[in-house]
Amino acid sequence: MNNRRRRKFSVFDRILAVSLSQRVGERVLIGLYIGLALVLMVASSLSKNWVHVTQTQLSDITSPIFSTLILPVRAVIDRGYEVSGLQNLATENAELRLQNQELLQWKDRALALMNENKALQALTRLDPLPRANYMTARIISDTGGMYSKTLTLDKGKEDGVKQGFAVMVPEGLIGIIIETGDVSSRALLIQDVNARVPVVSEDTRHAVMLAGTNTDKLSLKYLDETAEIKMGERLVTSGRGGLLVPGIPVAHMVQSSKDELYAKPLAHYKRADYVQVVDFGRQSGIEEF
Amino acid sequence: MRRLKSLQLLYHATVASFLAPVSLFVLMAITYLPIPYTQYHTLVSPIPLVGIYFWAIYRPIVLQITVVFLIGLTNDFIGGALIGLHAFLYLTIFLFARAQRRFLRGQGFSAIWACFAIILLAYHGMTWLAYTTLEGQLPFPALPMILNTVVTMAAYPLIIYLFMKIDRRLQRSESFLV
Repeated sequence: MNNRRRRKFSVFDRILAVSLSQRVGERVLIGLYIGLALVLMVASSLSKNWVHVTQTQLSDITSPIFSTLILPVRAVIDRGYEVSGLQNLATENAELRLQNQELLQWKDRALALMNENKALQALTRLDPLPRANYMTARIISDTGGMYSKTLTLDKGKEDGVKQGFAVMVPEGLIGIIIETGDVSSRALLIQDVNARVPVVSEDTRHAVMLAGTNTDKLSLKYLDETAEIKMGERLVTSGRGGLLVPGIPVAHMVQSSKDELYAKPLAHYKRADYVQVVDFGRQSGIEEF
Repeated sequence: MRRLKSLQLLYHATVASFLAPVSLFVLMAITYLPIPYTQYHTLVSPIPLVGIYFWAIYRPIVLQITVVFLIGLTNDFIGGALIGLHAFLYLTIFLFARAQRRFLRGQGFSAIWACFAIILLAYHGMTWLAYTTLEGQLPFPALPMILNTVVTMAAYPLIIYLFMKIDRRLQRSESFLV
């Protein structure tokens, strides 16, 4: 019985031409591949430019696959949200009513401040900030992992996306475009260990550099030791570095139980299927990010 | 009749040889879909490892080392920061599992699953070591690593069940053809 079975498999061995008896050739290949993998690892750790370019070219090819695969997944997730939403409908409605009242008060205040701002700008002859152009993009793949935080979006060069554009959700900044393909682009999230965002505390006006740690804790670099930032205070972009305009909400201050100070992002892409890609007309500082 | 049988054999062999790479690519694509499983963590678990482990034990003949290397490399280019890391790890794990396949096939499902858990831990350890050595990232991502391990271990029986179905179907058509 065993002999018969062995004979059966040997036919397929020949047809597939991948017989395990080809040990010598395979050993050479294994050596080559392992050597190549190690060389690539070192090369990619030394220079990220070629990695980003290749990744974007590949994402142009794979984005239609991801776009198709995401449809049934999104349908299931949306159905889940619908069900949980129905359960909390009454509570959510009451919360929204309250929020709406608060927002109407804020709207009046914002309009008053906007008029005051315009008047002051006219008095001081201050050049207004360039008008931002917004574009909506869909998140097609979550290409990050434990050791990198990136997103692939379904808008690329053909849609006018360029390196340095900000990636935002209504709550604030989540990342920045670092590479663009023809039909897709890659955003580096503020949580990534390579991300740096110059910010300023909104009320106390202390400048600090936010650095990603691959977690939701953003570390505070170059913070003046004497600076007294309030807990919960918002950190907004300072506009230094020339890439982002001042005033975009990024994070808020948190103090851990061990008295450790860090910032937590205000916005999180996990709450959104779509993001806004924003052109502030300031792409000169991409290398600063 | 003989000619028809040869054609059927060729068709079967083609299907069998494409099945493993395609299944691994699908697993890899699933890995990178933006599926939230908690508010702040994403499902970026090494699910293709389950496929590699399965094919290495049950049908190594349909999975060539070139394919394993290319799947790992694609994985790196899609989502990794260190290019070549998954190519190296997938290849090493495939070779290890293939070398141990006689022993593993003699074990029960739980023992094979437990061996996979050890491989998974080694995978996470080596990934962290590579990033720490080459990128200087010292903080140990304990929580994401635990979540990743739990998700991958939970996905294991389901993936193995589906792959077993495919494998049995292949075996059945082989017994008809030969």
